Amino acid sequence: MPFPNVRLSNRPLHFIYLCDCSGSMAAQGKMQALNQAIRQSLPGMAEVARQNPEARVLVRAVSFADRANWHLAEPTPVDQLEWRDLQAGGITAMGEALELVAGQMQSPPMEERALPPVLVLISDGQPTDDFSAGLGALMCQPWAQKAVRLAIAMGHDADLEVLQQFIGPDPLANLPAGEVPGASGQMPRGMGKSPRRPLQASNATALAQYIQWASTAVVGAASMPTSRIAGSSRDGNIPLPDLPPTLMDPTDDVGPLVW
Amino acid sequence: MTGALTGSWDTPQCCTVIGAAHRRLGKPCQDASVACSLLGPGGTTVQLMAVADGHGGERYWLSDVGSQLACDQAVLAVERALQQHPLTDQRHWLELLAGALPATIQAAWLEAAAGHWRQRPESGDQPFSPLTYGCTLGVVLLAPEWWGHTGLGDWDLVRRTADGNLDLISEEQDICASGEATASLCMGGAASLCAQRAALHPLTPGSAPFALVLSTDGVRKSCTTDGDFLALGHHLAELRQRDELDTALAQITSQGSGDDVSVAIGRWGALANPPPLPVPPQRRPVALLILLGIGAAALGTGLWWLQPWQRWITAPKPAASPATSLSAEVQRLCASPDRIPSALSQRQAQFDQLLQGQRQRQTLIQQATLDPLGAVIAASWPVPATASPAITPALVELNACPALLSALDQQWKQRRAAAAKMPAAGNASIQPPSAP
Repeated sequence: MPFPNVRLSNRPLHFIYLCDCSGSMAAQGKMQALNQAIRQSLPGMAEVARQNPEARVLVRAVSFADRANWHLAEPTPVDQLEWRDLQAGGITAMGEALELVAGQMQSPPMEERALPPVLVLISDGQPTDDFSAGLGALMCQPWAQKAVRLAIAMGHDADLEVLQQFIGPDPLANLPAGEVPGASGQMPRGMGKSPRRPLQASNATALAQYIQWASTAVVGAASMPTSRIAGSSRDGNIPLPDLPPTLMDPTDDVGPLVW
Repeated sequence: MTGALTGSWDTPQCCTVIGAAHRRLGKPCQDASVACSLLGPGGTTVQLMAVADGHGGERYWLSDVGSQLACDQAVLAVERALQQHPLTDQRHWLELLAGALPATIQAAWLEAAAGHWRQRPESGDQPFSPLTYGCTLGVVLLAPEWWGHTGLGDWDLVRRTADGNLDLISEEQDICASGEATASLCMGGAASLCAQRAALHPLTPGSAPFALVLSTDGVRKSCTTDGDFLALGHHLAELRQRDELDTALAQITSQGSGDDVSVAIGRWGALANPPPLPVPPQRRPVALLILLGIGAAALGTGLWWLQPWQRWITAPKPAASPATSLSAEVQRLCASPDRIPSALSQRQAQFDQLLQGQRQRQTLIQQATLDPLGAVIAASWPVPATASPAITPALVELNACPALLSALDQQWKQRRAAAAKMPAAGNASIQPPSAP
């Protein structure tokens, strides 16, 4: 019997960068480092996408400074992506950026069968607009609740508290020793050792490693057809892979303190 | 109920295919499915179909075993319930589906999973955690005068009517709106969640024929939209051959989600299309009379059969033979050798009954289409006294793998030892699946 005219499809995995482009990002080569890190991560991301054909990795990017705008508005297959450099200048409309993304975190435009999206917020400062309103708008959306939300703090002026609010509560905070999820199953060292806390990058090398981790290991984990039990906050929305070994503790930065 | 029903249940089918992603990564299939006939009160046949989906992440690393245990325990729990509760009491069966039955299944599943864990080397230094075996479970019962369902998790149940209408009868509500989260047998209070998925649908003399397609989430997530999923259910309901289902499911996972995929299909109202039930040789004259009766009744069922389901009439497919089912079961077991001990340990009663002459070897083998695992156990009997592991000519002919031979040998030794210690009549607390 012939197969019917039914549309079978792999599941879209939306990966969205939210990039701080405020004026402070122009200092100390931060903007250049961010552009470079994202551009360099693309081949690895494309390889992960190739290895997981059941997921269709689609990349978008939002930039925020005086206003928030789609820097890359079309969900773009990672192997077709050509990164255009972001430009720094202005203040930090982070709340507006979250509202912009919120508009995309509902069905439609999200596909019914999409995998949990991955949202990566990168900032070096503090929001200058109504962050709470933006976060509230975002978290009203079902797909934002399902999303894997990661945050990278560039330098030590970044507002870790708002970044943690974006990620959500760290489910590992109250876990007994030995119960930390991750590919290794090992308990990372020290405080702040969860990928569900803001990842602090103090130089271009660390930033590149975090971007690489988010765009490869996390994308790979989010691509897998696994499920988890409802009501368990321990794993977050997907079981996140361990951070790169040298970055198990985000407070243990790699290389010199530049930012 | 007034008047006689004009339909009956066809023998249900089930099929599980490993996901394309799991196959590529060398991971086991975490889905399981079962479809079987159980003997109800007064010789009534009740069909059961179930699907289970292991969660599959590293935290649930034995969920492939968990899903198989869930199906096994569903069969055993329903079989026990059938001995205690008359099928005519529909209200009571609805209560069972909503509460007592899933509670029994979950408790037995936990016990079976704990038993499996005790056999693992890791049990020496790690305590048993139900999470390790976490899985969903969907169960559908097909009784002569009603059908019902229960379970929990992200399985789906679609009904296709004779005129081609498709209804999503049961799906998991978005109870947590979080990632790929689903309810699970490993959750505390899992049984209480089953009430949301429990329903009983009476069959009436006016009930039109329909098919039920029970599936794990890998099927629905492979479809672009719910409309595509329903259309796929329409197609799957027409597939009667195991190899057709295998092919369709392989296509679904490879072009879709990459997840493991399982379906179980039940059909009611097949009077115009004689169900290809397995017929043991000694029953053929009776079966012929039944078929003649069915043919006469078919004349009065109306021309609608000639519409969307006419292929069922024009191209009836033969059922699998006992020999085919037996061989397929050996292959299935040998494909997942780590599951063999737990599967066999659930059938201690059958070992005991064979040992004590309460069950006939040949009868069990002839019923292989209904209880293939029971037939495999029967094929390993009588155990030669000299060989180790014990290998019967039948097992040699079936090309049984060493893991199966060893596990069967171990079970026979254990049951013999138990029989030497216990009175012969003290072994009937768990009944094996019985054929009508």
